[in-house]
Amino acid sequence: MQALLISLITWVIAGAEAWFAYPIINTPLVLCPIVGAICGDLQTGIIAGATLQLIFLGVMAIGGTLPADAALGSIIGTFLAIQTGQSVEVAVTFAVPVALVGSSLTFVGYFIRTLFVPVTQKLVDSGNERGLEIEHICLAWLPELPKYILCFAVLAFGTDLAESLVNSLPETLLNSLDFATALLPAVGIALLLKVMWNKSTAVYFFLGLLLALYFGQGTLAVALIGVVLAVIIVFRDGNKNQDVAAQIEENEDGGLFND
Amino acid sequence: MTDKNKTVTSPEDKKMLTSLFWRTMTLSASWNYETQQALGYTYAMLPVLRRFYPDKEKRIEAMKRHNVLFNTTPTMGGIITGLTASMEKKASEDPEFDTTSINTVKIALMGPFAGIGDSIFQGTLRVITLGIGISLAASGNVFGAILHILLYNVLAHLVRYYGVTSSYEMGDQLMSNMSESGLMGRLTKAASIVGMMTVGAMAVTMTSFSIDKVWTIQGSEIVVQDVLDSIFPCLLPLVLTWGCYKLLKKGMSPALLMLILIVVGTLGKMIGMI
Repeated sequence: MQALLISLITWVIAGAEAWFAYPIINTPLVLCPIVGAICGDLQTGIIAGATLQLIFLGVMAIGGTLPADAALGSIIGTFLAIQTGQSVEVAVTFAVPVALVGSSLTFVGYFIRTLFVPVTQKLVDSGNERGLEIEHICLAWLPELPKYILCFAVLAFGTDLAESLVNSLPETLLNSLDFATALLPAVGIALLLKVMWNKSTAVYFFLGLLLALYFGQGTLAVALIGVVLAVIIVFRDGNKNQDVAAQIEENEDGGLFND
Repeated sequence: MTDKNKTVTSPEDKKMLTSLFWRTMTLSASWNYETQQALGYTYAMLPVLRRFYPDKEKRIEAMKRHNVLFNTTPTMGGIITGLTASMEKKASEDPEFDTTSINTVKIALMGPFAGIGDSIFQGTLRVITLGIGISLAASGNVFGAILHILLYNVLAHLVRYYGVTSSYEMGDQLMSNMSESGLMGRLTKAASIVGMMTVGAMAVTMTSFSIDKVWTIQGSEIVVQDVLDSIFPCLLPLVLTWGCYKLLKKGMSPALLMLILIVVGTLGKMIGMI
């Protein structure tokens, strides 16, 4: 019952993500608390959401390429960790491999849609507007369904397997795994840096770093200071229009979009 | 952006634009490998085409025009759909209008807007609001997720909605206005500054781990973590992050890197190296 409810809700969230111009709801930070609430352990869900979100923060879909299905991994990982009575680290251990396998299921969805290109062509040629609307809606929601049916199967029948797997592991291994998963956020931050790093704004990375390190400021405080600073630097001085535009062009050539 | 550039919007215009706004959000929902957002774009433009081309033959011609490969960030897609809507309006009124220019504009804008949109929204705003959400959620606060959703979508919504309406009202004026004021460039730069500072803070606050290793030299115990902390707090996590960054830059896949960290971390801990 829980498995069915979770699969259904997360399928709707995944569909809504694309339907409403990516409101960033199909993401561990949001999904894990939902899974937690349905399983009756909201607290573990929230913490797992924060941990998994950090690891998968660098993962983003650009132009239809998905390096990992963070959503599917988080749902299954959090569910199995709560059901087997294990900690957040176990959620991470299950989530990472599932996320990597899961991305191939998303490609299946894209492939199914590609098969319908000739249908679209026919509907356009014959001016069948109603048909086009129905096709768009169906292709938006249905190709994701097989993935969530599979998700349901794993949730419904995978708990016993996961439990015996976890129980067969020696205690020292589980403790060591705790330590190892604490290393993973470094990959998330590094992935972000790989995408965002460019020479002209690199200095602000260190400013944020030092504010957190020596002044003990949290992410929200640093982001707010950043907004004020950005307004001062980029918007206040109107005379430097051309400078900024030229500089930006340079940056774009040199960094952001070069990868 | 003076008033004289604006055309007065009628109630019919408003209704059409609201419909265009909702449909533009779904641009990527039926994304496929071959024509990408072609179906989504045609779907979005239908209310516009129905309004300006009562004649079925003309309408089919316009639908064919839009059912071609297209791909951009849906959040910013409204600027392009709004602009092409104003062009379709002109095309329906003026038989001399060169309709191929509609697709020329679409193709010319989709690349830059995808680039800017992905770097501002997916690359930066998403990271900032998720970062704020994570910092709350890490202490078990459910508002972390809620705050992220609100912050991200209030800002993104302004672009989604006013992208459609203002680009329709301004038409071709829009692009010259935007490039003259350098607005997009400034926004990208500003977002990049805030993003980098946030990631800098996250690199410190969110990658904490410590080692228990104790060296015994001539009877006196040296706690390695204390020594490291006295050199530079947070040294190990930052060095690890920097190392991961270098490896990713060299082309190592994130999946492999995670696997290596899990294996090395687990084994290292088990045999008491760390």
